[in-house]
Amino acid sequence: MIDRAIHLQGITKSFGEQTAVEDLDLCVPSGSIYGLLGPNGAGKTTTLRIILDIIGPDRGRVEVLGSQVDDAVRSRVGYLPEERGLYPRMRVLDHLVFLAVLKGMHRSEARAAAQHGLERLELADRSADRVDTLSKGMQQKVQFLSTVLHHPDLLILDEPFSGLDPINVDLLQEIVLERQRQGSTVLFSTHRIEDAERLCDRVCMVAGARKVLDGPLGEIKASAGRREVLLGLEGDASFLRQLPFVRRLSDHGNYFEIRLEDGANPQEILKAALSENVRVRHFELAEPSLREIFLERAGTRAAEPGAEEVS
Amino acid sequence: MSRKAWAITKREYLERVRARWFLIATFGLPVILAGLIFLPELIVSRGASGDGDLNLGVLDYSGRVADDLGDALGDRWTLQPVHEEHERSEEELREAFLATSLDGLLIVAEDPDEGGSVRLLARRAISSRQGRELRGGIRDALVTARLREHGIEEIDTRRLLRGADLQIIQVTPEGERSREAFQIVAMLFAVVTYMMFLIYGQLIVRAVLEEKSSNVVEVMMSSVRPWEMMLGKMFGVGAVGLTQIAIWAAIGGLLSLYGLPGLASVLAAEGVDLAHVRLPIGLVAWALLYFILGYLLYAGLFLAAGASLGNEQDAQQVVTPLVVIIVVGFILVIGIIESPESRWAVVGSLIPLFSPMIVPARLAISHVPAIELAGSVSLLVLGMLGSAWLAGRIYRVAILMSGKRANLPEMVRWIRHG
Repeated sequence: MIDRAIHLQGITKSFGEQTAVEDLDLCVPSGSIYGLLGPNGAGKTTTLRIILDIIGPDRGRVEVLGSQVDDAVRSRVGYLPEERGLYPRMRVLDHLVFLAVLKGMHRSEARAAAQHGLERLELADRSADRVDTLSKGMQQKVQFLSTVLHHPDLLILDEPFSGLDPINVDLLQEIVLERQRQGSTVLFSTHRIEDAERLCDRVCMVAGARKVLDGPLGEIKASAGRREVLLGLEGDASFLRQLPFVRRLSDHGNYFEIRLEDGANPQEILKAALSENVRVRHFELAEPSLREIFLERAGTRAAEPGAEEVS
Repeated sequence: MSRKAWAITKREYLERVRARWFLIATFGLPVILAGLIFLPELIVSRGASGDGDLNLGVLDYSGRVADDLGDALGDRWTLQPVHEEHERSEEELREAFLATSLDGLLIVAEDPDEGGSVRLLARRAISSRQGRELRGGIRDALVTARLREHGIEEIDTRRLLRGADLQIIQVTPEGERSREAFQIVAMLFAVVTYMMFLIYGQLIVRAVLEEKSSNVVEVMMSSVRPWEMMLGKMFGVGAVGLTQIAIWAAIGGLLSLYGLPGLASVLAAEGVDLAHVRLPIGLVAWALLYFILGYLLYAGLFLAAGASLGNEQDAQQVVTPLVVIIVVGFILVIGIIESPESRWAVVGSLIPLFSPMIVPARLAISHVPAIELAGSVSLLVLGMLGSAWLAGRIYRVAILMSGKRANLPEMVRWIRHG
C-alpha cells in the first residue's frame, strides 16, 4: 500500500499573464477523503487537471498512486470534471461501457457493472436511450457512474454535487463513502465549504492561486483555537452589529456565527439579546466552522456575501 | 495501435454507421451524382422528340443550295423557296419575315464558297440538335452542288462524306484498354475521391467541434492520450468512408452484371461498351492505396483545423482554405484526364495534396512510369506523416481550449513547443 495517493511538489502553472497555481505542495494520504476548497477561479480545476496529466505544469513534480502519470495510473483513476460532458447521441449503456473500456475494463465486465450501477441510480429503464434525451440531473448521475464503474483507487471529483437535488446528493455521497471504505482515496474540489466539512478528513484551501491552509480537519479547527457563538434568533437582530465586543459576524438570516474579541464573555451576547426583547432559540459555544477559518485566512481575496467584518 | 485507440475507432465507426445520416448519404449521393450526369442527356433526348417540325423560307441568292437542301435535311423540315427580284436590305428582310408565318428564313449569300455567309433568321430558339442538322444539311447541299459543277452527278453525298468509327485502344504490357471507357473510370475515381475528401473532412471538423462543445473531451483526456483520440477519430471516420465506397462498388458491380435499362445505351452513345470494361485488380488496389493515404493526409489537416476552432461559426473560415485546395486538385484532374501525358500531370502527381486525386485517374487512362509512381507514393507518405505530426502537436494543446479561436502565432507556438 502506498501511503500517498497524490504528491505534488512546487507546482506552478500560468496561462499567459495569469497565474492559475503558484508553488503548490499537496499531499493526499491513501484512503482519505480530501477536500480541495476555494472560491471560483482559485485554481482548483487547474490543479486537478495537472494531477491527471491533462495539462502539464510549468514547474514542479507530480506523483500519483506512487509514480508519474502513465496509462496504468490513468486506468486506476476516476475523474468527474466540473464541465460535465458525454457524447449526446450515444446510448447510455453503450457510453458507460465505452468509458469503462478506455479505463482498461473488459467489455462484458463493464457491461455488467454498468447495468448494476444504473439500477442503483434508478436509471435502468433508460439504459437504451440516447444521452441527450436524459435530463441534466440524470446525465450527471450517468457521468458520475462512469467515474466509479472501474473501481478506481483514486477518485477525483470536481464540484461533484453542484446542480443535484438533496436526494441525489445523498445517493452519490453514499457511493463515494462506500468507495472510500473499500480503500479508495477521494479528492474532491468544491466551493461549498459545508460539503467539505461534512465529508472530508483533510482539507486544502486555495485562494488566489496559493494555498492558504492544509491539514486534517480536526487539527485545523483546534489550531484556530477560538470559540464561536452560534446564535438562533427570532426578531430584529440589528443590535448585534452595535455590540463592541463582536469582532466578526456571519449573518445567515435567523442564524448567526459570531466571533468575539479576545477575552470577551460569551454570556454578554445572551444578556444583550434578552434586554433587546428578541426570542433566543439556540445558543451554542462551538469551534469555529471551516467557513469562518477559511474566510479569515483567505481574507479579502475570497470575499463572500453573508459575511462582513465588524470593526 | 493501442487497445484504447482501437476502442475509440470502433466507437467513431459504429456511431456513424448506425446513424440515419449514413443511409441517406450512401444511397442519396449516387442518385444525385447520376442525376448530374444523366439529366442533361435526358433533357436533350426528350427535347429531340419535343422539337417541332420547322417551316423555313429559303432565300438563295447563289442559287446553289436551295435545290439540294430539301433532300439533305429530311422530312422534319419544310422548305419554301422565296424569290426576290433584287437584293433587299437586312431591315426590309426582317420586316418581311416577321409578317409571314414562317418559323425561319434562311438567307444564302451570293457566293457561299468564297466567304459569303449563310444566315438563319429564326422566330424562336432553335435547339442545338436542329442547328447541327441544318449545318450538316447545308454542307451536304453545297458538296452536291460543287460535285455537279465538276460533272459528277447521281452520287450519295452522305455516303461519300461518311468517316470511319475511330476506336482508341491503348496497349500496355498488362493488356489493352479502350480510351473512352477508362476515361469514365478515371472521372469516377476523381469525383469519388474529391467528394469523400470534402465530406469526410468536414465530418471530422464537426466531430471535433462537438467533442469540444459538449465537453466530452475532458473526460476522454483523463483516460487516453491525445494521439490515441486523434488516431481513433481519423481511422473510425475513414472506415465509414471505406464502407460507403464498398457499398457503392457492390452496387456498381451488380448493375454492370445485370445491367440497368438506359445506362448501357447512354454509355454506348459516349462510345463505351460496358462489356469491355473490366477493372484490373491492380488499378483498384492503387486507387484504394491513394485514397487511404490521401484521406489520412487531409484528415490530419481538418482535425487540426477543427481543434483550433472555438465554435461552428469559425469553422467555415479555417476550413475554406482546405476546401479550396481540394477543389483546385479536382480542377487539375479534369484537365489531366484530357491530356494525361502533360507536364501538369507529372508535377501534380508529386504534390501530396493533389496526387491522391491525380494519380489514380492517370493510372486509369495512361501508363505512369514506375519511377514516377515510386516518387509520388513516397512523397505522399511523407506528406501524410507530416500532417499527422502537425495535427498531433496542434490537437494536443488546442483541444482543451474553449471559447476563442486560436490565431496563427499561437498555432505556430504550439507546433514549435508543443
